Amino acid sequence: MILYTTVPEELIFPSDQEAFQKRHIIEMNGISLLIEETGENQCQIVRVLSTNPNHYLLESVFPGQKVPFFRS
Amino acid sequence: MNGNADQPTVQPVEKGSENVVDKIQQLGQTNIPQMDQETNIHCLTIIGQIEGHIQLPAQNKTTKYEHIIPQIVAIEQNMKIEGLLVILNTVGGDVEAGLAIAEMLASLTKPTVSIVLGGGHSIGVPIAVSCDYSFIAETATMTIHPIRLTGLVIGVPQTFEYLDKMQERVISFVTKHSNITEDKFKELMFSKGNLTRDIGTNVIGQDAVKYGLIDEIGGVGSAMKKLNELILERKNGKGGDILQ
Repeated sequence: MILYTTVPEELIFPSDQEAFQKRHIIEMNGISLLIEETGENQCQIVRVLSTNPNHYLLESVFPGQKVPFFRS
Repeated sequence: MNGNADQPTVQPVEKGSENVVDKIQQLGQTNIPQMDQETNIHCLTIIGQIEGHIQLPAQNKTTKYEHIIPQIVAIEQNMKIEGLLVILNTVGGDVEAGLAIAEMLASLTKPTVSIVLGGGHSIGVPIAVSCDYSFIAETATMTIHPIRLTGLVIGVPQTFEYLDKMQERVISFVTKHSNITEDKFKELMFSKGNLTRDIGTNVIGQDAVKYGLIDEIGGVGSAMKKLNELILERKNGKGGDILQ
């Protein structure tokens, strides 16, 4: 299907809210991280949200790392 | 996702010596790793699409202004940070969000250097030129094109004049912060035959420097060198009015 329109795709096909609700921005050891819930009490680091280049070298916050996750 | 009551907390996986430190932190001790994490140059990455008021699908890589702007404020405030490196690989996105980031970067009092790697298209252009000095990788490209909108601004269709004014804001920002002339920029913006069924120009590394849009060809190495130079100049009190 080709849609000839200037309306952006995300307006025509809004993505489901579930994908967004799974994502959270948290802070771990002073580093902001974007995480995604992957299961019960587990999440995966999606992105490091930091401007400090050294934070990207820390093994404990490498993207893809699985970390236990608790709702407080 | 603003901070709210069900803000989740995370405990790091138990592995290696670093986590010994993490455990100590959980016991309420001082933040040991922070000590050797200090660096005088911070790095801001503008990647994927620049997100505006509408949240893009979760699989999209986006740069969100609500992340970037507090980071820029923090960089300005933190005495230990002396310079900022901005790395761009963006397809563009929301005009107002992009201009907001560009204005914030332009008004930073600390030395800033940008590098365009891969692409700095569309609204990435003002962000690239907003820094004190800009670099572009030889193979990187920047697409300059007129503003395209759905016509919906703040939920209502806008007049052509409104879009024209918006475009004028982009043009004046770029010409003010780079060496390109308004005529040349407009010529690139409205030229035919470069983009498929569209007007605009895809400017590649060397050409961007030739037109005066970007200062120099280079990568991370040259950008860091320039940034260190600017930091030194500023320390010596000569950096009162850095070029551009």
